[in-house]
Amino acid sequence: MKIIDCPLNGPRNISEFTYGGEYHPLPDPSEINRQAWAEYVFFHDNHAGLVTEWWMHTATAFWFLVDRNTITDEILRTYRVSEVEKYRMGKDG
Amino acid sequence: MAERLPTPWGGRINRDRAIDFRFAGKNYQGLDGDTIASAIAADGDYLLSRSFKYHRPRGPLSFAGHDGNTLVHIDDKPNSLADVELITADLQVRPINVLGTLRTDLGAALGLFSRFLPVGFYYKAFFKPRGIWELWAPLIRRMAGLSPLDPDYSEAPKDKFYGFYEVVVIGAGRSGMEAALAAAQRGERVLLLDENPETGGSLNCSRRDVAGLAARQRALELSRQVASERCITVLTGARCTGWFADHWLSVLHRQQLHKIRAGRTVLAVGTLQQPIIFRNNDLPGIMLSSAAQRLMHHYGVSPGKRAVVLTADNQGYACALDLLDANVHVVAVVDLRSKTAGGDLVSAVHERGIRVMQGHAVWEAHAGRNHKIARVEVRPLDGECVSPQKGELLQCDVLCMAGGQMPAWQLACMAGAKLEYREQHDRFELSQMPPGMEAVGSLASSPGEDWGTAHPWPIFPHPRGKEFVDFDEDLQIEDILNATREGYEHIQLVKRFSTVGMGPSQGRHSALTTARLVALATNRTIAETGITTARPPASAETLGQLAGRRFYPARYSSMHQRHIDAGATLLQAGAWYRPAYYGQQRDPAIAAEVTMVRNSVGVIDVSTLGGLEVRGADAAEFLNRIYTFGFLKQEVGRCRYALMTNEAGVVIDDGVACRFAPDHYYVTATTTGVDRVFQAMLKWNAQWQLDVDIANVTSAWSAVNLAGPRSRDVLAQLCPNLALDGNAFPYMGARIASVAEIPARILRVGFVGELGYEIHVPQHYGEALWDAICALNVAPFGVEAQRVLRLEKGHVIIGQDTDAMSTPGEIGMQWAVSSNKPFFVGGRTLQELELQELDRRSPGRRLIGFLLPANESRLPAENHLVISDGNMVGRVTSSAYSTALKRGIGMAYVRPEDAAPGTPITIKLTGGEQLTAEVTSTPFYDPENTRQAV
Amino acid sequence: MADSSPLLDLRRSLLHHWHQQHGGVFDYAGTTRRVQRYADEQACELSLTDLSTHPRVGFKGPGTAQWLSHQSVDLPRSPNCSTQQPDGSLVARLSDHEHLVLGNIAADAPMPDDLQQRWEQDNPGQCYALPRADSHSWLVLQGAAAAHMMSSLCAVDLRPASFHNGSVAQTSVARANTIIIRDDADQLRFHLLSDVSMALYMWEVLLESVKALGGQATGVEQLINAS
Repeated sequence: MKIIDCPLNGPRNISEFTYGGEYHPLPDPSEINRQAWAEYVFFHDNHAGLVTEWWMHTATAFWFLVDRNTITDEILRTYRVSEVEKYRMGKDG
Repeated sequence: MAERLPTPWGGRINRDRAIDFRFAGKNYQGLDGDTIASAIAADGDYLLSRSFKYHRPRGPLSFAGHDGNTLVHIDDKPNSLADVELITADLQVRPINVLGTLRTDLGAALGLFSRFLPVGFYYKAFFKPRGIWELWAPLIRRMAGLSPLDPDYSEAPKDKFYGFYEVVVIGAGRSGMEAALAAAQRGERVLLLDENPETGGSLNCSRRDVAGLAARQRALELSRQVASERCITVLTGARCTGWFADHWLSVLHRQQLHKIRAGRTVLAVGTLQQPIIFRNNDLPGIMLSSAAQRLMHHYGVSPGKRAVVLTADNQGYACALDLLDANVHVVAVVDLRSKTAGGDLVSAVHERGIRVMQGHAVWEAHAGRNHKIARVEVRPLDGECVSPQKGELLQCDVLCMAGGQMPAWQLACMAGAKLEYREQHDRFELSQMPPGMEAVGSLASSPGEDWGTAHPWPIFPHPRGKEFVDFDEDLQIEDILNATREGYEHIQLVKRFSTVGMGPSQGRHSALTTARLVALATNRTIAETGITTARPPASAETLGQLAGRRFYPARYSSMHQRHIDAGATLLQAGAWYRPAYYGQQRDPAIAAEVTMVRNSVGVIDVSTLGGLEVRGADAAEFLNRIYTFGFLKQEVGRCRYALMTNEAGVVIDDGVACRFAPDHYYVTATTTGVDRVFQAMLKWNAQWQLDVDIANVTSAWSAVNLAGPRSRDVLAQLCPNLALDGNAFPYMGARIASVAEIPARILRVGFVGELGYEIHVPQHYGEALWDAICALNVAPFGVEAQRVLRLEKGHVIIGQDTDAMSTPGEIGMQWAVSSNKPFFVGGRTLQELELQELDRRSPGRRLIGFLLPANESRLPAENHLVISDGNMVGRVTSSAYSTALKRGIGMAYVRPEDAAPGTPITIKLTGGEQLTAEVTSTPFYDPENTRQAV
Repeated sequence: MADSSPLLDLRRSLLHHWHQQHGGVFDYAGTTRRVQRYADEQACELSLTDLSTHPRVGFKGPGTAQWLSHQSVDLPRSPNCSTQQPDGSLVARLSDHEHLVLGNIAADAPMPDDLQQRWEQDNPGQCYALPRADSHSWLVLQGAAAAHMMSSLCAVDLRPASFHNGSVAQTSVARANTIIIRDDADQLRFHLLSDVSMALYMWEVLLESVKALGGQATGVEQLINAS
């Protein structure tokens, strides 16, 4: 069983976590056109390679972000949502 | 019982304790420590079972639990391995795959027709005509199919354990023990496990030097050191059946599953000795040379009186020396290799005057009495081919074969290592070990180190076949070649078409030969051909072991005992147990409860209702973004309906938001939805970063709904100091007060359409509140009555009357969607959907209420279809018999053009009958809402 | 010391009926009514005790640490740790901004209720009380075999050498979310707090494992005396 290193609770079995989908910053709904809004709501990148995902530690309802390589299933980094600008997609922080 | 070899032979047996058991209707006596197979072998018997397809007689191949030939039936333990399972007093063992008796199996005649049972036979023969399989299946299932299963079998659940070690070493042979000791000396916590009942591995049953003393000596020394290390935990009789991500290992020990997390994994699982492929290589009495050595070393059983050793490398010579020491007459060592190999063991065999037939092979074996091997025909080899000339017949009662080595690759390959064929060494080797995994000992050692270079092609086709490649699946050379001729050239396809490697031995003895044969047939190298993917489990696990002890969390309200006392029939909502109705008779009970609430008063336990505290300066702004309504102007002390949509505009939950302070809301949510709502709120605020705290307090509050025209009178007695009249505490008001001296939150809401109060109290006072209310002669009603009551009021239950496509407009809740706030989750999508409907680009659907005719006795059920011109145009979501209206009512999705009140709709019932209902406006009952707002 | 509040007898653990059916003898301590012992109780090496009616409270929000410090609470420095207070109460830090206060089980335990009252008076900013006494059941598992027992119920390594005294793990026990706090008192002891609605489920699951190792359900008397 895979391990996820939760920024709050430390390394735990993946069965303690709930997947929350790909991370997409919410676009401003009043600025965005219809096509782009539909893309945001209904389409996932399903990218092969490095992606940022939402995960929640279920017992503590703690949401955080995970950078994961979908080809190798390797977790590169886990971090708090407040650190997204610092770390997302392989930034060194 | 035959005499055993003297000590030190027989390291596992206790000679002072005899044990009686029965096999195939015959009494046997073995010794304490014997397996079923070793005890039977001690009687000179090797016939254990019949093969899967042709019912050929079979005996043990490995004596290590690595092959499927030893599968037998023990009551409550189907498909036990006879060379692993220890004998116990009065054990009853039966052979499997037997029609008639083990010795005269009627199905064995199938072997004669085997040319008509080629690989792929089942796929082809029973494909056409349609239905033919159903005729054949019972017959075939009787012929094949291993142990019978007892459908009534049950066992006490066994705990599963979690374990944690810095290092897990699999295999407690020489290199495994050395690795464990090295790790322990670094201060690491080590788990050392081995499938054998003792540490030492092959040191306990092999010969490494001419004198035959060194291996056992080393085993003793290392075992002693391991036992004295406090950092090392030793598990013997434990099988690692799989490697999973991040070094998570499944280990079976004493019938229990251990899930072990390893910091790193050291594999010391050694190599698997390979068979040699010739005609009738499956006769009882033909075994691996290591198997013969296990018999002698572990159990003190002499494998026979006259032995032929057939070898492709030097391992056969070690066996020959053991046989000689055990006073077995070694007729000859038949060495496939044309040149004499070097090495002390080889020289020793020559020195002891044993006949060595260099460059020869066994052309075929013959069975004698009792199906056991009686003689072999040996012919000279010309390179890889057997001479066509008639060869020499050697009389023997045991044949020991040593066909070379294959690394025990399964666990390494599960973890991502590669098994690569080195043409220059003619064998597979492990490479690209994944991070955190290390192979040690013979698993990793370079070829030839242990047993010299092996003959590269120990495969000898015979014109009359029966050269078995896979013993489990009864596959011969021709079967593998046939698969490639059918076009299945890829090794993975060969496996799927022929089933090679799918049996209990999981390719341990067939993968190498199959790779060689497929390479030959497809003009590729063995390296290019490769072997099939290794997947867990590497050896058998039972469903009981995997299931372990079962955990089904159950949630009860604080009033649960009172419901039981009142004779409630329970239903499950998520993990909650709730009263469906009180009493045994469902329909009369529900009807009586409904009437009671409409005419008088009743109380229902609504503790399961979700509860969320939303507190902070931005609480109102937060709710404004999460729910569809506007909350900024909501007055303190008032409730407001709260409808939640997701980003796709789909309704996902609803509840009531009560404002107790400008910065404090208490929000209810549905029983099964509250966890998702809570998680979604946290996820949104992780992005919005509003100054708000969200807490899930569902279980912290016990709650009842006191409902009915008399509810105000009842409440007045419980809280004499609270003004309850319609002006002081109006509909949709919220108060903090004491009820029966208990601190409470009171919400005046009307789910069932009568005057009613939801009373929420801290959980530990729930039972006291219930008792106080019931003491005033108020009777309880259950969830079923509540469903009828709310349906009469046309209230939608999210998840019952909505699905993954329902928008507020479709379900007639546009009124709950604010059109003048800048943002809420799902808002933008709902705008777009509205535009689409205006453009008539999307037909949409409508949730409507329907009435059945007064004389209609049938009642549609959930998901019965709404039909128009034979087409499905909608479905029923709720229905009930309304006591108030004295007819059936319900809700259904229909096309927008059918949504006008008065429109007839056709509903198709189970069985195809149809009935006509009439669309009507809702609420069905008290349409002016006069009863709840008094 | 009996309390005169009429609420005291109204406040019941979800296990109240189980205790009654199994010969529970109740006593009063401060604002708490609890099982002192069971009629057939023996001295045992591994015990399970229900403290669900015992005082406890939670506080959450960015202003929590500051406010609690002003109340002279000794706060754990990082999440998933706990600190013992001078009065014997235990404060566990559950996240950056969340703390759980468990009243001293051996003596009068005023801290949780005191804090709750002061919080109501102060109404501190960005600090929100959580009704932990009602949202969670509180069971105590005590005995040297407790860690081994938990290894069949919980996937977190709770062995004494890995999970040090004072450590907190928020995880799943027998498929139910549970806060585990190691709080030794001469011997290994775990506080287990899970959703109160699952109290009966947790009690039965844990008790089955306790009994399999020769232990039993005990009242607070033995729990305190044994430690």
